[in-house]
Amino acid sequence: MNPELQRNIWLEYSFHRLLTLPTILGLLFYVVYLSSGEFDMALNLTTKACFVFFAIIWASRQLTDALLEEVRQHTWDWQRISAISPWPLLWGKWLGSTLYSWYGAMISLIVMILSSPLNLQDQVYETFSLICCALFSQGISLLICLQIFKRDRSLMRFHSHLAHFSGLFSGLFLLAILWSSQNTWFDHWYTLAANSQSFILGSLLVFCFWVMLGNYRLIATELQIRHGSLAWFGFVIFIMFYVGGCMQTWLSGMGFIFAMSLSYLMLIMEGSKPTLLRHIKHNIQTQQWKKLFQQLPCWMVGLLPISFYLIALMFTEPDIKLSIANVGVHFFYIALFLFFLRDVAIVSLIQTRQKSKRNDASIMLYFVVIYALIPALLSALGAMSTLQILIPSPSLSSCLAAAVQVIIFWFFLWPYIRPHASQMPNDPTHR
Amino acid sequence: MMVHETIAQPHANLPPNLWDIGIAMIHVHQLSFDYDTKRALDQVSFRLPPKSITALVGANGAGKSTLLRCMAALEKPTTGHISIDGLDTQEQPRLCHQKIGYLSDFFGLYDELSVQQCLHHRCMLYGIPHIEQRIQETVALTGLSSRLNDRAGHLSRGLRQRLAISQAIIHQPQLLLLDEPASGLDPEARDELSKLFLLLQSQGMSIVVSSHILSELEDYCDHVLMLQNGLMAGQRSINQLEQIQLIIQLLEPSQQAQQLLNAEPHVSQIKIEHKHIQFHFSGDLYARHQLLQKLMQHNIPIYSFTEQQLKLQDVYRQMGGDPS
Repeated sequence: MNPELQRNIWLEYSFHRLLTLPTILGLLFYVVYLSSGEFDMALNLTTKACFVFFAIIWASRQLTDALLEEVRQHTWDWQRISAISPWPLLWGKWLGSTLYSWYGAMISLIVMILSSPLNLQDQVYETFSLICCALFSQGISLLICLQIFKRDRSLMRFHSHLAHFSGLFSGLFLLAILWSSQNTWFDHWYTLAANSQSFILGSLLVFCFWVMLGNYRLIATELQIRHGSLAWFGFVIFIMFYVGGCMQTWLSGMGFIFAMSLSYLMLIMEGSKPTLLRHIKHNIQTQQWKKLFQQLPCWMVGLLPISFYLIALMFTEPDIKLSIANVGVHFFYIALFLFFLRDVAIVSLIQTRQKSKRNDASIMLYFVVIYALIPALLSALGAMSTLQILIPSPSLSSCLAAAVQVIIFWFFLWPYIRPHASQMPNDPTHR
Repeated sequence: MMVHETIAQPHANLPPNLWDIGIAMIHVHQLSFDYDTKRALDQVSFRLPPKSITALVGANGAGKSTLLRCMAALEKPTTGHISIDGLDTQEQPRLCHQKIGYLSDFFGLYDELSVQQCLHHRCMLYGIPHIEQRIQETVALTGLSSRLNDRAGHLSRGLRQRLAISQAIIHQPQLLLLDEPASGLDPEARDELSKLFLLLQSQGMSIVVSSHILSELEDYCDHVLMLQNGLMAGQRSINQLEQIQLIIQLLEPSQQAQQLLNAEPHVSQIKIEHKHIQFHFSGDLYARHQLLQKLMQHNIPIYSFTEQQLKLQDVYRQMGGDPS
């Protein structure tokens, strides 16, 4: 048996607990049945709500708590040094820590199927899509936990809440799409009808695959199996292709914007520590390409396909209608790319500080100020035209301003990348 | 003051392809490790033989834990190489893990599980066949046979320590890395721990133990590595500790005594403080008798001639550390 599954069976399952949950759920469903008089929508909705509670809300919580406990009890290093492979560790930890909530979810699912007024095909679709939503939600929670843990080797209650709510939000978001009567966002994905059950279920399965792959790669990294960030490279290309399909074109500005948004997300999650940039520079100088490939952070790896996509976009008609003239859209794409490079330098500069625990808050504060507070202030003052020098705008001046800022901030960052840590400027540990 | 003549950094400048990894269990070559804004290890090089017990000493923050984590292939060094029994920790970390048992300064136990379950879980993680047999063998070594059904969270600190060591050795590693294993243990538990380490060594295991409490290492270590601010301050075989230190007390200061001792082939590191002379003596009992006879023949006013075993603290002090 899988060791993590076995451990969780020891911890989670007792005769008492195995009996309690079905008894409580049975009573609940019976009360709903009695109050509504027959197997109808009320019971069906109750079972769905129970499934969402067990498989999305509670399971994500259990998953993040399990990892938090590993960190608190200092047991994670034991597992990292063991002979277990990434895949058994991943599914053992995933399924093991959510075992009891899946027990409740499965009871709810069985009653849901029994009480469903739908035909067999719709029932299969509904069941599979609910399970996919739950797996996606749990996977996102685990992904964020592992990503935070990879960066800081610490996991605090705040981080587990963040991971839990991210999983919860993504699961509920998918459910909202699933249960909405009509997809109003787009009609076709390339040539496929976007409202078809097969398309939605297919999309769900593909996104679940990516989440599982991401988790697998993070667990593999923890076990010192280093593949580099190839999975992220593939995901960025996939997301540009997928979003392009919603716009019914291979080259879509929206795909580029989505890919850049993901890069920002990874920049915030992975950070851009000067130590890392220094290692990258060292490996380039010493031509250690394998080591370099293994060290590159996801946001940096993603820039390669994004750059090619951006170049290709320059030669296409814009598919996004901005409030300003369409001719500026290309400038917007370039500005977005350049402002990202500026933000990488600023995030790195923030991370040169000693008190690393406050760096996350400083980075978030920076993004809130630059992309929310200042635009709001300038808007209130009626000076929106000056905004283009701070945030991406569809104009040549925005591109030039971004380029100048890239040069300035990377100039300030360079002294931290150039030497070894012991010789860094303003380093209190300088010997 | 650093005692430069005894500092050994063997083969520090050898490229990796010239490592004599056939002999060394651990070979660390110009290892550096950077945290965000601090260099934790700086060009550390050393090698340790198989079946040795090595004390890794240094003040808090010297880099001991970082070095152990790098050796355990849990952290990737910034530069340099580590070889464990001929395997590079960066190239083959998973194979290295099979040869290594690692115990961090926190025990890392699942408090809700019983001792039996903790060990069973570890066996499963390592894919060990005949799990029950292996558990019995391990608890027989660590003295936990009567505690198999106790919950880990209910054990005393000493027993938790034993359970953690049982977990670390259950896959029969060739190298055991322990970070501050005896901190917080009472003298009796420390004594038992010493015996356990010697037993494991006799079964062919190499052990590296970090600590900043030197007295706890003295009973079982045969090598000493010292780190200072991330730098390798020195490496010694404990054989050097076995070198006898002789102390001569004089009725009055004597210049002639120093001249006679300087001329002796077995005498080194002479320290003279007024009427007190202290030196290392590498000769046998016969040579010692001859030395005493010679001093008496020259009418050196000796009233006391005693020997003293060099303690780890003395070595640490000589290597530049502050035992306090």
